[in-house]
Amino acid sequence: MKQARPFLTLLALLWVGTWAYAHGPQVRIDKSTAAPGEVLTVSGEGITSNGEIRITLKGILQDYSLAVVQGDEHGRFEQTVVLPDELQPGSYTLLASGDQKATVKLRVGAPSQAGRGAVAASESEHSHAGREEQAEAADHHEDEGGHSGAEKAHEHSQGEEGHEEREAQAGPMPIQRAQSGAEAVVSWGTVLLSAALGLGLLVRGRGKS
Amino acid sequence: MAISQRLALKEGLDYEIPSVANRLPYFLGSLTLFGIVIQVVTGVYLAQFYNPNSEAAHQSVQYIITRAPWGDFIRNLHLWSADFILVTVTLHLLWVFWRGSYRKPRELTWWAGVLMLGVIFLLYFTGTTLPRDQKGYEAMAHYIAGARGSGVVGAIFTPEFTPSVDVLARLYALHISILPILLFAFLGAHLYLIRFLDIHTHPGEEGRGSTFMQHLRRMFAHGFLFLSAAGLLALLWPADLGYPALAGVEITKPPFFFLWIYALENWFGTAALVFAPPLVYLLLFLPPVLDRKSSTLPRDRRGILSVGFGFILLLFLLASYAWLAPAQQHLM
Repeated sequence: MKQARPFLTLLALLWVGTWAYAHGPQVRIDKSTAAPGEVLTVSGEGITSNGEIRITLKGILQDYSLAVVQGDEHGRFEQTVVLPDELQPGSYTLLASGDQKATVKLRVGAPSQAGRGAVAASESEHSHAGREEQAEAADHHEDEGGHSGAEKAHEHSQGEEGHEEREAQAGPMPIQRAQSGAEAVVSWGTVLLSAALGLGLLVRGRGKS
Repeated sequence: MAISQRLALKEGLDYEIPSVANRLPYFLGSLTLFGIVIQVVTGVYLAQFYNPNSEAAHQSVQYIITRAPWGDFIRNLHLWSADFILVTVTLHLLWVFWRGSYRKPRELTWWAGVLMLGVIFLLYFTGTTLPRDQKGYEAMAHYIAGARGSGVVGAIFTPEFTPSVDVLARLYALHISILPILLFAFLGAHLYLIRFLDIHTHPGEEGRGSTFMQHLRRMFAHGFLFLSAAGLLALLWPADLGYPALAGVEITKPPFFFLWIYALENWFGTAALVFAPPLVYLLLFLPPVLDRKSSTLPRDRRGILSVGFGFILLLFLLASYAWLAPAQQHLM
């Protein structure tokens, strides 16, 4: 029995941890990708028991307050929200906050690109323990380690017709530059005339001094 | 002759100055001024075609490049001149620092110059946000993160302060009106003080072998060469335009003169945005306060020169590190 004690202790801790993970704060949305103006169903549990729960969409430039709901005795809630029309395409974090916090990623595409996707699972965050747990996402393509060495970041959005991909690129966009004859004459004329005036004034100045 | 008489040019401009003022380093300030004039002229032209609305800005820049008459050349001239100005104004500051020309009675001249330096860097920064490409968007996001992190002081610059106006439109207003007004106000003070406090000279350099008219002729000569060089680069190496911005990603880096902040962000996060630039900028005001020795010769000011140039070297090393390091996510 004495030899089994450490094993039993470990087993008990694992069971408690699993229970805590299963019952930790969570938030879910019915789509992993959406368009501006679209309606989402947000649900979750373990946020605030019999209290206020704030649903916020966090972006790189600003946050959008989507709804304030009341949690039940288990901190559960379900709410439909409408995404703001002015949202820019990109990656956002939907935050349900109260006594606890939970987040889930949401991709916002252009109105023609977004469609229904698999349910996205949530990231749980225990604010008092400071512990973060990564949940499995149904459509997870983000580079969690940052963008080391990468020139491109991929944002995948699934449309009803199939996959459509939009990339953020750091490099230059190809542009058709077309300079007419008159424009070339004036441009080069400006360069050459300026050079002539500059050199002429310098030479004249040296001559006088 | 008739124009000279009517504009009182002889009385206003034909006064004696030290002949040392005709050496090339003494024209760095006037080169910067010529660059600013080029920016104003080309900027007014670009403003006829640019749309500061977030959804239309990138397309309007594409229009400037592809369809506006001389749009591509003028835009490239505007961008290359901006880069030249950062170089000349930095060299000008370093030259004045080396010479100790900030000493009594020229403290206000130095401070007016430092204020202009700050405005010039803000003009450059706000300009990078206007195309609304990936780099511009991330620059704007950093601006907002810095404003939010600055508490009450930065509140006026946050989107929440004016929900009726796009942030891009506010940055555009800064770029074309508020900052140029400040720049010319400080410039007026700077030039007035230079005129009436005279050019600073070291012992043995006081000889009055030249007039300001001769100096002015050389200023124009250098100015035209500045225009020619910027124009040549505009034609041979036209500036790029990035892809329309995608929110939620951070894959670009700032221009070289801002990379030292990026390096600090890699280590300290967005707190570096809030504290580092103001701290470094405030240090620039200190030389007239700290350096009060009677001699302005470099050999008698080794301490402050070592600290000053060492600091510049540090900023250069930070920028080089950030340039070589891979892009990192700071804001989300």
